[in-house]
Amino acid sequence: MALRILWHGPHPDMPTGYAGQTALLLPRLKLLGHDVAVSATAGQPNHPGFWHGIPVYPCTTYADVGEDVVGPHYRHFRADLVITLLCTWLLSYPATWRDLRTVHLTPADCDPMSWADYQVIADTGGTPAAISRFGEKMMRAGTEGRAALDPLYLPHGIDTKVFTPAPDRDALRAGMGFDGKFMVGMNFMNNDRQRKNIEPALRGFAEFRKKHKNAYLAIHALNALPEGFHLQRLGRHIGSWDATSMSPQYELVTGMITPPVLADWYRAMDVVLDIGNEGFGLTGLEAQACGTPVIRGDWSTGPELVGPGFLIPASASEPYWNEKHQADWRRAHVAGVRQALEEAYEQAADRREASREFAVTYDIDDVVARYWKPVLEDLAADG
Amino acid sequence: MADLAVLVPSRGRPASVERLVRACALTCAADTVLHFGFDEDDPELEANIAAAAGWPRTVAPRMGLAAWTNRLARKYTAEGLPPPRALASVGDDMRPVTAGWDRMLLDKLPAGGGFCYPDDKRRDDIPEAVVISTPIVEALGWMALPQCAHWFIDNVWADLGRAAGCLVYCPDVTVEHLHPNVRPDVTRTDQTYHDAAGSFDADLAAYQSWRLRRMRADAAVVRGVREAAGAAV
Repeated sequence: MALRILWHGPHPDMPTGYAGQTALLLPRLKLLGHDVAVSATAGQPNHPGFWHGIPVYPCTTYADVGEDVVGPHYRHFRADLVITLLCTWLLSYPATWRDLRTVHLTPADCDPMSWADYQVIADTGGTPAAISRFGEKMMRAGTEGRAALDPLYLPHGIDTKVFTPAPDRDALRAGMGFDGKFMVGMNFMNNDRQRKNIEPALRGFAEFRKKHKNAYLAIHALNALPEGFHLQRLGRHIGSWDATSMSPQYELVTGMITPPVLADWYRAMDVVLDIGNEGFGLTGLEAQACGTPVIRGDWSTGPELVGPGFLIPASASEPYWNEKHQADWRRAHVAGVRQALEEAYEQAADRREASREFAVTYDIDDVVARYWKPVLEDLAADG
Repeated sequence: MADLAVLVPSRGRPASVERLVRACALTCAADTVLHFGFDEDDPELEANIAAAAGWPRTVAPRMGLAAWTNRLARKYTAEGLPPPRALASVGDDMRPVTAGWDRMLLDKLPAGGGFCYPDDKRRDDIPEAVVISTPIVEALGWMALPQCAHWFIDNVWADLGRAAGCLVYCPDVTVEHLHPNVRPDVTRTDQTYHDAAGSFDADLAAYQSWRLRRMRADAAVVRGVREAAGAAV
């Protein structure tokens, strides 16, 4: 039996992690026989459209993340189920959701789970779905005023047919001017100054480079956004800017860097530094699928997604409190980052094949078959 | 046959039972029956029975609120007591205030059946006290969601009523909820409140699971009752 699924997330063509998952999942849910439509949280205001034959209902410019129209969209599409994919805590109108059959795909990146996420889940009556085992553990913990939840488990995935190792990596690197260099990659949305541990990562690289003059940093991010860093200023201050290359900004901001192009960037790196407090951590997994090992932290999803990469121990970090989420994130110590880079400098080349092998366990087709298919069949049978 | 059976599970609160009996004596206008449910191991059992002042009571092994509510409801839907037009869930920490509250709520029940609830001075989005048409309880096979022990059974009533288009809020009828959160001057937190708190986690999970997996089917049952009664749904 097929479900009619309304997907409350960003337009699939937006250059964000949530949109990328949307683009990967919706065609595959259709292939399972379900009818799907997007209720846009962003990326398509005030007019309907289609994406690859999938209806896209608009958000409006009058309310945040489409909450003013998701109920009418649900009824217009005659949906059986709405699945939300955004920072769950952004939802502000619980009454809207009480009339809908809702699953909240909820990234959990702090310990305990975000109080703000928890409140939305409890108030809307929606069912939480963890996208990582860390998230599942946090939801089930039931500590510090949060009830223990009973979430579904629907992990993110990546397209390992797009993100593949390079047939001739040496030629690729030569073409990029990376011959003889130890390339450290960072790929992030530059809209955060804390959670993603950007500053410790940059400072750790700067310390590392004092010893290794052939080390260079490639940053796939916009140079400056209001809620993030001015990366050039910060890089100059800590002395790493002369060894930093930025992805082309115009192409990045306009969404012209497609996944196949990004895959070449990953392939050319020796290691990718991805030490944020992540709800999942797609960029590191994409890098691994291209054969590039990652450095992660022993916090949030780091241990479950580091694979054969390099883990900064929790002892090389410290907790810090976030009032909004009433929970801890962890801030990496600069020395811990430097030490992980030292290990990567010596061993990363030997871990490329194993990194790929690890990443394919999160191939999107496999994730859909193993996790999404049985859950949706179960829900369809429940009527 | 009574118009309304008010089902009142209670534990350890003879004073609350007495307060409810008195309030009903002063305010009921319909043919309303109070039916109490007491735990057989309740240290206050004898006092409770005395406070019930002759109203029907059932004494049984200890149960939670939902299980007790269903146990009492079955008396009227399956175990031989004449089924009234509607069944009500009113807490022992509630006090009817509006004269004729029972008649007013019965009169506001939608044609074909539904859920009707008063202003309880605590929440207006869900029916913490509720009157439900008996055929709906019969068709569902339960009055309070059996997977929950205590919490969220009122959310379920709201969900079903909204989904089936038969939820009616009556702000002109007051049945005050004297919960210690809102009336600490009247009610103090006691062991019964404390015990109930222990099931919150499991009840939230059960409620979310019901919304995801069973709610649509149960709402269809409610709509079916209304259709069978000739209501436009």
